[in-house]
Amino acid sequence: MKTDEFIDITSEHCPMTFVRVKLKLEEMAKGQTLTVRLNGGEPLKNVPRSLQDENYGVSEAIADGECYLLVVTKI
Amino acid sequence: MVDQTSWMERYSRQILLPEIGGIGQKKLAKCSVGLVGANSMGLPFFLFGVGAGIGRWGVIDTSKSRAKEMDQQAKLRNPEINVKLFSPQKLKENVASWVNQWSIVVDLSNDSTIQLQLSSACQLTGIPFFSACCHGSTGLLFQAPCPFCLLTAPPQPTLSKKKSDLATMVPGLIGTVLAQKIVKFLLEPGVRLSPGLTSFCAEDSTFTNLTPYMNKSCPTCNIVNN
Repeated sequence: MKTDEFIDITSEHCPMTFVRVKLKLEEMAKGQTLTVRLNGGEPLKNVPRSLQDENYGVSEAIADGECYLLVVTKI
Repeated sequence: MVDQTSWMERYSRQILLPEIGGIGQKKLAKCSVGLVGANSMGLPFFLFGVGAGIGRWGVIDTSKSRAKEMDQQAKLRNPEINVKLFSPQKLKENVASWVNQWSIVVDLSNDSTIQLQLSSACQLTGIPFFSACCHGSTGLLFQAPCPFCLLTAPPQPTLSKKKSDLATMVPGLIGTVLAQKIVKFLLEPGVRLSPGLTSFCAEDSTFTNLTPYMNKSCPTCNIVNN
């Protein structure tokens, strides 16, 4: 699935993982989609949950080698 | 030029808050505060305001060394902040032009003459005005337009200059609460500052919020309207 924007947060640690995603989403228009590439473990547990808390649409995570991909929709 | 990574790391906790975020953080950086009073109320207020990322400050205090110490503290904590020190003479020369250069003006001088002067100038220029004072175990926080609407007669400057037995924690607490109030105010777009009074009593650790009404015999409003 092709999305409007892409961000890789695999080199970041909490809380900068979510900070980077949030700042990226703030720059985007409503209805646009963002692919987030993130690590398993803490980021995979926390980032989707934080995004849902702030009312973003979040897809199921898809494995991408050792990492995961999430598609986030700005509602 | 501010380094984006260090900016994100510095404010990450605030960016995470839904009520601030990156947009709010950038907005705070563009805001400015004119502060009168670098005392035990002014210092915590200033340090929390600087920590929150309010970008530009003007500080006036009768003690040059206290104002200088504030500037040094700010640079240690947050080098991105711009602090300018002014002599108290500025208020005597042209108080309206001084208040007009800030997003908001805060008076923590504990001096009713200065409070009256700043309140009148802020009413004339439309700059939101906050002030606070402490006496004994009580702290009072005022927000514009006018703290003097509460008085039935003009304040006696000599009374407020008299040394009082301040409970040491009260000024620090009031300064901290005021910092939180102004950050919230600066983040709310287009909100007109409504009159308000918060009283804190250290005896039983209680806050009371009151809404003052416009007083026809108010000394400040009379100056502005006549």
